[in-house]
Amino acid sequence: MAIDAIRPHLLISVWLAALSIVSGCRAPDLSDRTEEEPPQPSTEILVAAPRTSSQLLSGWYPIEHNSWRWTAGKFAVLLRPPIGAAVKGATLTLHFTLPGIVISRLGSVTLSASIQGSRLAPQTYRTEGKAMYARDVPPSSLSGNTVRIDFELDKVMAPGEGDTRELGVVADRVGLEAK
Amino acid sequence: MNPEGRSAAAPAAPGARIQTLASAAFCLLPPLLCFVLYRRGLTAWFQADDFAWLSLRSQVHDVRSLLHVLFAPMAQGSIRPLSERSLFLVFESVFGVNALPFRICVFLTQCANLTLLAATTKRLAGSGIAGFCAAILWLVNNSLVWPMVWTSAYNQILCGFFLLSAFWCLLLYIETGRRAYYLWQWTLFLLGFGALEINVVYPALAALYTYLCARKFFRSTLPLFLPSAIFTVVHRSVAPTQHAGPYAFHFDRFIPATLQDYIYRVLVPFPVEPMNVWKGLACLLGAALGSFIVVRTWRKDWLPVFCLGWFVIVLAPVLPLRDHFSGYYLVLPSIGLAMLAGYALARAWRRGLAWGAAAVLFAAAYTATMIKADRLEVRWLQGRSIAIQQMVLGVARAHQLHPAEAILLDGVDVQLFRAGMYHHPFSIFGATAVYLAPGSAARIGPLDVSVENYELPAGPTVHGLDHDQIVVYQVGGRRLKAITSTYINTIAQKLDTNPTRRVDVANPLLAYLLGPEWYAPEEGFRWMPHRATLRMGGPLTRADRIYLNGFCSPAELQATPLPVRVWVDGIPLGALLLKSGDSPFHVSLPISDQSVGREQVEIAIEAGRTFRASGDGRELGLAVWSVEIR
Repeated sequence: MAIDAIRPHLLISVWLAALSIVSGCRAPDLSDRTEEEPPQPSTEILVAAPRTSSQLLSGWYPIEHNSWRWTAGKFAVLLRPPIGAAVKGATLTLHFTLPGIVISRLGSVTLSASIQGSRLAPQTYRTEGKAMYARDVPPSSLSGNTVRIDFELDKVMAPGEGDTRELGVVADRVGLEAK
Repeated sequence: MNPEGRSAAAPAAPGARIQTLASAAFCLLPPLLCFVLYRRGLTAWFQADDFAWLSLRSQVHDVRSLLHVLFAPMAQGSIRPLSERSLFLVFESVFGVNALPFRICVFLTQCANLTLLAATTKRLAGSGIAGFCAAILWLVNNSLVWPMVWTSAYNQILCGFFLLSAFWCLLLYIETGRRAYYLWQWTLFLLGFGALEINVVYPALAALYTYLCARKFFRSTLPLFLPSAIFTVVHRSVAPTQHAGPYAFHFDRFIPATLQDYIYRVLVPFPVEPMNVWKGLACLLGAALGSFIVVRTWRKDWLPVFCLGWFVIVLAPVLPLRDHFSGYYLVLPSIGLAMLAGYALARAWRRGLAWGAAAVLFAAAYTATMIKADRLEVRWLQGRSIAIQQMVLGVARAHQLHPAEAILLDGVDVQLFRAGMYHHPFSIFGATAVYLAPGSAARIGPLDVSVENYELPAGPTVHGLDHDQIVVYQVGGRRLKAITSTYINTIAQKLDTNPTRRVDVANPLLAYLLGPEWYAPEEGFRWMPHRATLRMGGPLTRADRIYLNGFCSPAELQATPLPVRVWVDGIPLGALLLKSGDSPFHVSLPISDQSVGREQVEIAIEAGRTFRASGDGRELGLAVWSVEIR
């Protein structure tokens, strides 16, 4: 029978030949393994993060020191309401810094906001340093997939000392938090 | 040799070329049919236990860990350095997660097995037809489906190679008297221990054959029992004995019943419905084989007894596994029945046209039944592996695109879970934060494993989605489909946002439930200082308790016990005392009735004292894995 003529080295040769045929097969190409969707808006924007920069609609100056941006007197963002916000509502928060120069020049600043055209109560700030603007937002204002939020300052630093910009506050992050 | 003294090594005769061609065809046809019948097995991907073996390479760091990976008992105490550990270590190193080389290796080994079986049966029965039929009848047996599609069952195929090749060498030794064949038999037999534990039965096969058919070589087989005895003793001493569960041995009255089940299964393929006409025919085939054994034994032809002995001896080690009936345990025993059936066919054909036709009819019916069932099962098993491939490679891609986010899978069904996700395949690609979407466990249904542990609870899911910590993918098609925004706008809106009642404190998705006191997460745990707090879902019933799982420095517990106090919403639950030897600890306390029904409670844990480790400036109290209310 044919097996009588088979020697171990022949078997091993066949084995190695078959394996060498596929030895070029490396890890599979993964590039086509998922069907991605367009990036979706976030509920919170870190103003220095490139991923959410498209949600900064207007009134924002370039990133400084990789961590913050100056705002103008009027600035706007687009946010995704948190899950369940259309039923429970949410809290709008803006974390920012009031530099000493702003307080020394302007004395105080008042920040107000409106969401989908509905005005939220303003707040006045008189001391320099870290600050936060936080307001409850009713469910009725959070029914869409995204909402536009407009902020407005009553006073801004006028251009000067080589800086042609109208400066408001130094913003870190802005977002809607679930209740 | 067969009692009529026929030999395959007959001198060349006129018409030798035709005979050689026929021999070559008999030799090549079974492997060819193997590729045809199981061709889908070549394109199968990995599934189930394969993923544990694929991750072995990540455990190898030096010679010591390599030896551990190769020889330490794993998976119910098995030690199979050749068929599992080496195969996966080497092939995964060279080919990554490309399954084709693994499958080619399995097919080539099986082709060698078929050739060896045909040649062995021809030598035993003195008939090329017997050898050919034995190879075909074994090839189509339904028990071969799993090893031909699932790489983790390669141990059966490789063990078959060692058993058949060692036995082949024994036959050559008996025929020629050349000591080289005897030594080759020994070498192959010893290598067989690296494939499967069943290899211990080889000496019994060799002894039975020589005792029945080549008595003067019987004594030469007795030394073979020594390695088997040593292997058995060593294996039992290093591998944990299973006292419960499916792999526990039961030496009881159920062994004959289990044997009967296996006899039935070797003749009736798994997917064939009961009461099917094929079932009756298969029973007739069993009766015919039984009659053949009786008649041939009556005529002092002991070969059928040996074939039957092969079946019983090779099956014997799994008969005490009363609660783990597995079809592919028949792969190796069925070799004996294939040899028997091949011999019976050849004898019937020699006896006359009527007997031959009847035998061929039986064999054809058996083959048709088996092939029908094989095709169904191969298709199902291979299809499942491809679905798992699509899920696993999809997750690998998703992890490439979203390395910082957890991945939530929607649409995982019971097969994808049981043969895929349950075995943690994603960790091979570094994706460790992969979860079932909330509600998946209920859809998958109750299993013998806890599906809930793989599911991300609703509260953390909502929080993670709101904070861009999670991406959601739909499983089911050729590609994984990103559905995060759709999921957020639909399913997630209906999820319960209350915190979970189990907090794995190192899980970044649950960090929002922890107070500010906790230190940074480490390997599955966090250290807490003197006191730490967390929020979690409240108890549902008065019987619920709070469970703490973690560890403490054993040195700290050595001298004095460590008191641990727990509060729920400011109500003290009492104190636990961790003594020497209580690390790691799994302790619990009853909860006050006042907390029952609250959607959310605040837990405070306080260690009675703290310590500082050398080189670590932190004040350390307890290291906690998880806190749970149930």
